[in-house]
Amino acid sequence: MPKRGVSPEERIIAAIKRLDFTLDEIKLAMDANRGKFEAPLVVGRYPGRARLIVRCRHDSFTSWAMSIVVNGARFNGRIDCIDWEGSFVDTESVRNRGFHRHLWDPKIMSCESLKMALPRFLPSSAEAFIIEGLLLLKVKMREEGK
Amino acid sequence: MSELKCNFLKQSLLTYFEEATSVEDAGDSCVVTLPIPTLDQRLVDIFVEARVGDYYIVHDGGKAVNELILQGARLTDSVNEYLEKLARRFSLTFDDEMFKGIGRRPDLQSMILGVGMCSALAMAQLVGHVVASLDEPLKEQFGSALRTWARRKMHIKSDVEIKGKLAKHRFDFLASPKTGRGREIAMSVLSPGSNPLAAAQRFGFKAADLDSTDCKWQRVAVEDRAEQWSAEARNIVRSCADKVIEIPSGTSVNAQLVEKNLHDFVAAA
Repeated sequence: MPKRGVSPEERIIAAIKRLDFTLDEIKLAMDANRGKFEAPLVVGRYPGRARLIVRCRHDSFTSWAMSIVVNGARFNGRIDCIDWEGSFVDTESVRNRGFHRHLWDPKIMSCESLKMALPRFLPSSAEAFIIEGLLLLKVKMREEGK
Repeated sequence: MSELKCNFLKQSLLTYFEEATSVEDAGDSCVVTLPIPTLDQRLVDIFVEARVGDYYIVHDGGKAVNELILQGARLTDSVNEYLEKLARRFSLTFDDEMFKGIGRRPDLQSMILGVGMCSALAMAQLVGHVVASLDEPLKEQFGSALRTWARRKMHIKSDVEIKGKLAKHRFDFLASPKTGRGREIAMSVLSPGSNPLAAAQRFGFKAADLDSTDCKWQRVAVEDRAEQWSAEARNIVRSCADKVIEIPSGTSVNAQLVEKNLHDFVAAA
């Protein structure tokens, strides 16, 4: 059987995505916008638009979430996400609770149904959530002073 | 159907609900997960916080709106209106992007179910929703470009409200110099819609109303689809704004465009 090629969405997920903001700038923007942040991402060789959305509206980690949304000729919508749910069925078909990552399913072109539990993802603050979350999503922030 | 079968059905449903409903401790609140599936394949979470006396606050933690935004939906005025109406139908409020109810212990169950229903029904916004780049409102594109441009010079706030003499007004963005020197700049992204003149008149009213207050903000109008504005509408906007940025259809909105239009303006401020 012919091997399936890597889809553009999978390539974006696997690629390092550059964000033209430092951590301090993200925090400032979130403070000014009541815990909301949205900015474009630079992805090499992707002709469409990709953006990062972070939501930490409330003090409780249960409301913290971030996603990557793309607008391209092939697909428009969310392709990657980290958030918290009180109950979800994970990729091992086990009912789970807590932070998880939405996995892209190229067959159905969606990341809504496959959820991988992140038992070691336990951010102690919204800042830790941003740092650790962006690392998981392979989003590279601009370094201070650059 | 016989009573026996109905009893069995009731019993099996109760068992299912009991097994599928979880209530867990989450610090200051209890998280209730109800077996109400949402369109984006979640179960709704509801947060219950005890308050003074016998009072409780029940809310969805803003998760419904979070999910809409995280999937690329926009919280437009009409979406907000829909969510507010939804909340009212369940005797709840939609405030600060959150479905919320406040009540005493006897009201707790109905509030929990109501918040759960609102949170699930809010996701109806995703039906038929297409996150098209072309549909991304200019406000969002301009906001991204503005923040990139301003990151070393200015603080940017979104959706800033200010009270005029006659009414409360909202600007899409407010830029404040980081050095503390210079004046604040309030920006409105104006869409011509089906009636550019009416859009210009609304902006004119906002400007005139604020002129009769102590507000010293400079005003920038960003004209979306600039080619669609009539001469009369343009004149109104120009006479009420300190700076007008024209953005014709198909223009790439980026930090360079903002720099080109605002550099001299900010330097002169």
